[in-house]
Amino acid sequence: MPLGSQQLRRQRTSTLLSLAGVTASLLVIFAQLGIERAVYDSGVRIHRAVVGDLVLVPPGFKSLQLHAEVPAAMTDIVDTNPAVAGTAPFWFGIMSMTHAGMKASRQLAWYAIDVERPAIDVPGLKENLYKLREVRRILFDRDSRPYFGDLAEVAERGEEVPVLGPPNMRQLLPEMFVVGTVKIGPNVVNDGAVVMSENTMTEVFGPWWVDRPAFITIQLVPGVDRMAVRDQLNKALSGRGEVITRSEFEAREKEYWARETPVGYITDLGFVMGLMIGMVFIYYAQYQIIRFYLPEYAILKSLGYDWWFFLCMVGQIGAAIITPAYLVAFTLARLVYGVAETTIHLGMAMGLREMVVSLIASLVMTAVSSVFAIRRLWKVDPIMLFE
Amino acid sequence: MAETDILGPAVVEAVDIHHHYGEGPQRVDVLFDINMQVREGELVIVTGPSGSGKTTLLTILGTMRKPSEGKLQLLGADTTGLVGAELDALRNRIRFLFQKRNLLSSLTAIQNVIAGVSTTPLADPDWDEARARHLLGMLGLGDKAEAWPDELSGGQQQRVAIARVLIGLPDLIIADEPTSALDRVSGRIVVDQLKDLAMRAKCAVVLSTHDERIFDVASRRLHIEDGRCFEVPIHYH
Ligand SMILES: Nc1ncnc2c1ncn2[C@@H]1O[C@H](COP(=O)(O)OP(=O)(O)O)[C@@H](O)[C@H]1O
Ligand SMILES: [Mg+2]
Repeated sequence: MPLGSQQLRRQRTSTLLSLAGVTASLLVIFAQLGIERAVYDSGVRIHRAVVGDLVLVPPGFKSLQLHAEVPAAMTDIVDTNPAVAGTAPFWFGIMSMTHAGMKASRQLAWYAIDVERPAIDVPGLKENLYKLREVRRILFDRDSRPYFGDLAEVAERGEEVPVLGPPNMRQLLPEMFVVGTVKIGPNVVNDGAVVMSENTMTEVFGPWWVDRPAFITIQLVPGVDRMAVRDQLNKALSGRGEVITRSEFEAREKEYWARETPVGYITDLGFVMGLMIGMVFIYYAQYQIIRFYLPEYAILKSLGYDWWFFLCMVGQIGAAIITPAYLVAFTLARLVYGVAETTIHLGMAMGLREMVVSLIASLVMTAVSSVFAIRRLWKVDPIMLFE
Repeated sequence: MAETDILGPAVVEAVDIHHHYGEGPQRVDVLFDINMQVREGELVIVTGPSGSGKTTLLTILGTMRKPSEGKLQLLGADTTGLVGAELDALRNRIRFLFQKRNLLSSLTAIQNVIAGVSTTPLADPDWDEARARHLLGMLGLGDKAEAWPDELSGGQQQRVAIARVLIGLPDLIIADEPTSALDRVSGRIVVDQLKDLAMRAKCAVVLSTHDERIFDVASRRLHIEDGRCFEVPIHYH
């Protein structure tokens, strides 16, 4: 019986209001999901670019952004394991930079690698690697936010662009040259990045950095059991460093953003708020209809319809609200993601996760509000039909 | 006893029914010592002044309300202490016709009629629709099947409600003043059709009214006054 949907059609005002409310709440949910993805995914770009089977990180590693360092001497302990084929250090820091095409200097991330054995692989790195052998030559991240002038375009034309790095101890700005571009992408904390060699790092920031990589990647001999080697290495390091897999490396970073920064808390809060607002609006439509048609439900009760029928009917009303609301919110969210992504460059996109999570949220909204709505129907007594 | 043989078995049997509303100083005794029987194929009219307890009696007979005292046998089963699925099964054999507001306003006439059967999980939608159309046709509403309730006159609405009552193949129909909101002509059509179709379906009908003009459709007439019920012989004109 198409009762629920026909009743909705007759209650146009509350139906439209509820539709708008649920759509808005779904948009809130999509926004939270989009922000989460942007923060989490952009936070693990380097982690995903790691070349190697395992990663040596400081004990209790949480996030690259915390600037923890693992002593380079740990490499010796790792290297003694026969399953280890090689290691590669990776350095990370923040510096300010400016050049002729920029009005003021701006901070960005610097990544340093051993040119002979790069710890990461990102598009553009392999073919430009040889250029880094010359000291003070750096590669600029062409996906950086648009605050660095025409740096990327000029460098890609093959010109060497002189840039000024952060002041050294004598307050002089060291000169470096952008000789090409790579493709990494910014994250929430860093607007852009440059990649340099270990030698350039030593010259610009000082020799003490060499002993303090952010992490060291480990290549294994083919065919060995990765997990077993990980455990052996951890035993050998006995707490002075920690060896984790690449996926653990990524998971720790995400965990940090979700649990230990306000980002995770705020997006979770926003998500729950969206869910509750959506529930309230679906319930509103169901409640309006139930209230308006109470005597008619009493007739159905007198005809012997049971709670299962009423639950289906209330669910039908909910479904008739949530389906169009979801489709509209989905379409709008895709547009919003696209517009936002052109400015923030954080990888905000409508992926499977966004679709599935928001769909589940919609189902939860409908189910919960239906249960509340049915409670009201429960009290209907057909005796009210006798005058 | 001869009459018992001609008529069918008892559908309703009320023994010493007593009913009061409220307790203590608010207590109002409405019905005293009601003893009555309604047999298959009978149409019993319950009359009485307003406030005499007609509706109360009908809700008790329809198991909508438990009597304060007394015993009610329905279709051979004792309803005292009956709960849950057994009571639901019994109720499913009873259909109600109210004074007004019988129809669901967001369903068309035919959808309203079908609503009278789709409770059963074994329902066959095509068969139900065919029966609903047939019933509407018999009630002279063949061309109104797709109409919305608010496009129908009061009498037509009551006749759609009759179709919905009948499609459920009830054993007992309880009708509380089904014509009091109608004019004389449509009221007449409604009771005539109700009687005609109910008798064909061998269904018992208990109908309350204070409309003297329809007394003649009744097999018997019970009159309630001061909470007591007695049978009144019917004078055929
Ligand atoms: N739910 C109730 N609570 C208390 N008193 C009621 C209730 N329903 C009806 N009554 C009283 O019972 C008496 C009989 O009412 P009713 O059965 O509706 O009579 P009728 O249908 O013949 O007009 C009236 O005095 C009425 O005020
Ligand atoms: Mg009454």
